[in-house]
Amino acid sequence: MSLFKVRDWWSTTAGGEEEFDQGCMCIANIDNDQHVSDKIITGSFAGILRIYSPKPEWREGGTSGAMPDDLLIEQQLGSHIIQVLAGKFVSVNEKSHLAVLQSRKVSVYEIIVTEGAVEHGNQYQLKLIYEHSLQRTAFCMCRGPFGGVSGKDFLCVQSMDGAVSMFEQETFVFSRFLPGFLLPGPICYVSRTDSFVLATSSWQLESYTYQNLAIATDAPKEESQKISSGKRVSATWSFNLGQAAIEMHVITFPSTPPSILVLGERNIFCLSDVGKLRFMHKLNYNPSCMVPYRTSSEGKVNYLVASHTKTLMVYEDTKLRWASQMNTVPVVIRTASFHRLRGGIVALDERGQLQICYLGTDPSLFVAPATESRDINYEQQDVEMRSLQKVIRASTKSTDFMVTTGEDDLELAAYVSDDLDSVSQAQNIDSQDGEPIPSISVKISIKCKSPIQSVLLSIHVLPPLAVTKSLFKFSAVVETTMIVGFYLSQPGVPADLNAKAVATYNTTSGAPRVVVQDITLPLQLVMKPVPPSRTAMYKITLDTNKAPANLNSIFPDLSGENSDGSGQAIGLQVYGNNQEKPVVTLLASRNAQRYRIQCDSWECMWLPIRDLMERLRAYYKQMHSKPPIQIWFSGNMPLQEYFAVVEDHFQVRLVRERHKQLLSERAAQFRAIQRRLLARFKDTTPAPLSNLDTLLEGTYHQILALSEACEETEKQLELTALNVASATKLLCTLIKLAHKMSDKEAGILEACLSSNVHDEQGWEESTDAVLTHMLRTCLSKSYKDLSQLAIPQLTIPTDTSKFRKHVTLLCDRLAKGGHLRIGTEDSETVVTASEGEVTDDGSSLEVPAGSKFGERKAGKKLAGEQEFGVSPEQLPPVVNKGKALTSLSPLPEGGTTLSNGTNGTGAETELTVDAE
Amino acid sequence: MDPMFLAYSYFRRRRFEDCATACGKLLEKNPYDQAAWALKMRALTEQVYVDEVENDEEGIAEMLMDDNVIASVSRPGTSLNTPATAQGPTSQAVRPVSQSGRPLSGVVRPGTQSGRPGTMEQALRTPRTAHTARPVTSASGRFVRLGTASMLSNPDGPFINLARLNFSKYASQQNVAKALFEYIFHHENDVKNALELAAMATQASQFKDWWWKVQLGKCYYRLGLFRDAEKQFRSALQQQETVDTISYLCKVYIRLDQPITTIDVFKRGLETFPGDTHLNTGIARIYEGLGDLNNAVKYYKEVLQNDNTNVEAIACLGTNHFYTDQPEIALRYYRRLLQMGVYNAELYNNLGLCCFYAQQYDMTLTCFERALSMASDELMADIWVNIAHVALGIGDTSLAYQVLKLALASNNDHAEAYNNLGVLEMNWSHIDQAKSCFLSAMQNGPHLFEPHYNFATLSEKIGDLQSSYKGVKKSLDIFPEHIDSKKLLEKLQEHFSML
Repeated sequence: MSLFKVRDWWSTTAGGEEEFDQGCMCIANIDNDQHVSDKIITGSFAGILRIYSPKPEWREGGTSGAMPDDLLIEQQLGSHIIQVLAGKFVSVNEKSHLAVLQSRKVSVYEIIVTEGAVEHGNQYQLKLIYEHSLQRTAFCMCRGPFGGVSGKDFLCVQSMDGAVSMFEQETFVFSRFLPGFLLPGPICYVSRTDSFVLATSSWQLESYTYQNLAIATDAPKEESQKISSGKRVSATWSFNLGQAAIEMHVITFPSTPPSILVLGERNIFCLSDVGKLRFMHKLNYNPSCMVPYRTSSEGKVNYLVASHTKTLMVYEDTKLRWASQMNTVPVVIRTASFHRLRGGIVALDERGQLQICYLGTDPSLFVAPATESRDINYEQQDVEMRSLQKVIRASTKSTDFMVTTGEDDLELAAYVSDDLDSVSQAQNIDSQDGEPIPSISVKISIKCKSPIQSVLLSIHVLPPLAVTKSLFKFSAVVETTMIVGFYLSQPGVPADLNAKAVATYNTTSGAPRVVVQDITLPLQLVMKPVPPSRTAMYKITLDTNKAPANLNSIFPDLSGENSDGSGQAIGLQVYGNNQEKPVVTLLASRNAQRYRIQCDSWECMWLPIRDLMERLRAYYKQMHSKPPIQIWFSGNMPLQEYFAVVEDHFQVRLVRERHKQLLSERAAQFRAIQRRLLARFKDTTPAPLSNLDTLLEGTYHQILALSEACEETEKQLELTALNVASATKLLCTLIKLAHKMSDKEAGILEACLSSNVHDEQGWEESTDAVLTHMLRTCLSKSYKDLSQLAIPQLTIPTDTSKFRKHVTLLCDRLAKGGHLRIGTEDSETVVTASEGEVTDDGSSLEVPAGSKFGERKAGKKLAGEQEFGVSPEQLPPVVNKGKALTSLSPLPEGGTTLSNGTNGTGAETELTVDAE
Repeated sequence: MDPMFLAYSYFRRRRFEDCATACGKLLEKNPYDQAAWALKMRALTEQVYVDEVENDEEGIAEMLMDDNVIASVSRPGTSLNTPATAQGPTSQAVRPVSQSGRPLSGVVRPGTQSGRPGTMEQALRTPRTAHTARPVTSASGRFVRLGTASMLSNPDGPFINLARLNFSKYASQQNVAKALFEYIFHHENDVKNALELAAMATQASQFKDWWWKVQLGKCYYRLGLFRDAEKQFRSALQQQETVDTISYLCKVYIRLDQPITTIDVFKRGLETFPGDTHLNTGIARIYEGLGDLNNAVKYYKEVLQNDNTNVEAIACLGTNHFYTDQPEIALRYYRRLLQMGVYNAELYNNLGLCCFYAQQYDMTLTCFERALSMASDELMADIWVNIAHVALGIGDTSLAYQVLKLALASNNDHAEAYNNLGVLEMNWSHIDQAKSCFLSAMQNGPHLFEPHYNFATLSEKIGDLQSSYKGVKKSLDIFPEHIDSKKLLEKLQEHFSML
């Protein structure tokens, strides 16, 4: 990241598909030109040597760039070139020669210039002076006046397996193994101390004097490259870098103290030439290469570092002086002086992109990509805005979220087959006595006008009923049918024989749509005919205005062979249970116009009664009898029986609460013991566990036992909840029949006495709250009620006495002529009723729409507020806005990516990924 | 070309995949080629290398079961856990705080967002949002992920079977041991084995190699043995001072909640490495955490003296200028970041706000537009809230209302949005809605004092003095110097004494 980018002075591509690495470029006045202008020498892994002499012209707005005649020599040298190096490698003169290192060979060349005719320029030729073949694979080489000779350069070649071989020009001197060698690293010659400095694979910098290396032989035998062992040489000094070195340079500029600059993988070190740290600098990027350069500033080390984030940094000691962007990641950079550019930066990347550049204040201004802009038609937009605002206002005003839909593209239909399946499809049943559970097939068909993508069909049914497959996915559908089976999967009597098929899809315009189809299952799915029993605990008698019909003709599917021929009695029993399951007996009176339902279990009677009523109405409607049949209930309201069922449920709830409390206590105890144990184990001085482990195990077992008990209770709770639901429906129906309520009133009653027995929110207290509200409002007799009937807290009560009292009171009031009336004259009732319908559990009645707080507190607070009776007009002016609003949090996220700077290594890179 | 040389060359050019395959081929031919083995190890390590200094995130377990803190009730200004006690130039009313109760920083680093919770409930709740159901769990999910990610890259199984490795053999070979250690520590993420190797190796080097001591310290730190880690780092520093070792030592002290000591160590490090950016940044971060913003700014400026491209320093200075009522100067800092190539939603958001406060209204909306076009869901809510703020600033309350609703649509748990929505509702005399908004804000943002104060004001106006008193108490708990809360409290006390 930087503000500037380097300016291009000259650039070319050295080779096409060739590879270059660290040693593959050097800068020298290799043709010994009188104008001391540097040449660039490159050698690729493909074995091609090139020499460039860039001489671009300055022009308006830049330079002329690379010309074909800038390339002096291009020659294939056989095998791969690992390193090129310039130096005084020939004994007869002090001219610059070129040393080329290949895997098994090091050769020295001279560049011969032949003055050509004026127009053709000079001719350059490569002339081999001498070469040494190498016994070991070479890694790199360095040059220097080893042994302190003057005016000459010798070569030292480091091999891949840790031997250094010395060549004093045409003669081979000796080879030595370096101790503790594994992987090679950069090597340098320090002339002041006449020693070699190299970075080893134990991540240290070690220095060996030339003399030490030379005399470290066992016997005065002939020196050869074919050594396999040698005396251990010892380092004169070593410095622990703690990381691998990438590049190393010896600084011998007159203005700076002699030092060794090491580019590590994560730091830059500068050491004096006797191995003392002068400074180090931690990098927050991955460096690729560096080079020191000469300046006039006294005592400071100046160097350039290139990073893998394509940035070139100029440092003076540890201070970053300049940073600018590059186009590539260079593998080697150098500084060089050319005819028209002194101190140019030469960079070579691994693909052979060769560039000479200079630092300029050319800003690399980041230009953000243009956002999607369009011409705005203001009039149109105003119209659109107005219409949208209308929609918003409408939607915020009314609590109804009904969206008027057009015709559905998708039609859903369900056909319940007439008979039970011959082979039951029931799965996973915990039936106790092996009695087969029947199932019934339902054919669900989907029909679309046009193909619709990704339709999801789900089938909901409340337990204990179950469906064989509840979810269907269609990637595209036009018309399809599937057959599913419904069956009783758990013991218990269902409160409802309805199921729902729901299809969800997106229309072609992208709007989500839901289509619902109700499925009504027949009674015979859950009940089977048995011989009627004459005696029973509970009896309900229903009066009609017609002579009793033949039950056999009303229940043709359930009469079975057990019924008596007269059709006056039918026995029914729920499937899937042991024989003690009570028998529901339907009796038609012989002479009076009444029917009797009797059973030993209260909750089992609901389904037969419902079915009986429905079938009777259908039967007489079919017969076209006038007047239409009327059914009523004239007996006493069987509240005690109902309360017994509720009490059962409530007791189970209490047990569950107790279990939960115990469980949380045990869990807390478990954590406490764990903590103590942890403290014990963490302690540096071991202490006895003092039976904490036994305690831990004991608690663990307790927790297991408790959670099993909890599960058991949950099951029981489900069962009793079903019973309560059945019983509630029965009660509602009886109340409705007894008081000849209209459907509207009955609807309100059913909303109040909800048969939706929830687990999360206690049914007793929520229903109680609704009842209280009803009693306070539309069933209230006097204002005394308001004070006497406090809105109950929505917490689990200690017993059901209040609930019973309120139900009794409700029945009394209704019996005395009370009406559950919804009218505009009473605003409070309106609110209650509408909300009672919207949310089918009573507890969230008073929570404002849109709030997250479907919790008890909110309800209470608002109730309290009602009592204060503050009218909106008295409201206070707003809190001091500037202080009350906290929204000034513009910056917390400032840095998920901000913080990761230029580097590619740090932890923060990880962060970015994480955040994205 | 020699395959080993080529592999090494790939490594040097950071083409680690190629390097690992090349080494793999060499190892197939000769399984005992130690050089290839070591090189492959290093290539695999470099692929997943993460600087350990920056890599720190405390999980719930570390925070709750922390028995390393020296003083559980520390004096003001000596602990990172009880901030907001320093009477700095900024108050919460001007510069908001993060969930940990520290003033907002300019950048997000590991650990700036999740503070130390007091109780288990808070710990479980606070870091959880609508987007991530899981709180930050123990031992930092990041470490675990590093380990598993590395396994994925080797479908044939791990490169080295640690269980069968002869540690004592390798510990004495210094040239392999270091690479092996980094491999175990970073790639395999197996701290226990790494510790074993380091312990043997430091013995083998006769305790003369500071590098091994630093590695031992790193292992101890990961294992939560901070005192042992401190010992190792101290010993390493005696042999050789390096920036890394100093940073590690400071990390230990931060974990021990010793900010003053940490600053001391950093400053001593600065004597050896004058002007080092990492050390200066470290000091600045701690001052920022302590709420001593004057000093933090001083050190951030020092950082920029040495490295004028340091993004963190620029961002933090910008933030500071913004919150000290100099939006124009903050704007320049952020503009610099933009020019340097930082291009994200946060930056545009900040630019937009700066423009707004610097009265350059024409740029404000453009900046926010860009921010919205780039923002992730989580960020979206924050940006909408800021837009709502701008809308309030220009007096368009209905726009503000709708924008706040949008903020809640993108993040249902946004406490600030709830609070501001509550204020709007209160303004429009929708008491119930206002109340429920404030309640939501309180639940979702336990670090904010505003919803409590607003709730108190509302309750006071409608006559619910008890709730009002409770609210104002809480507000003062969070922000003891809030003048308006104090006034309200006085007023309430008067009321009560009259009764």
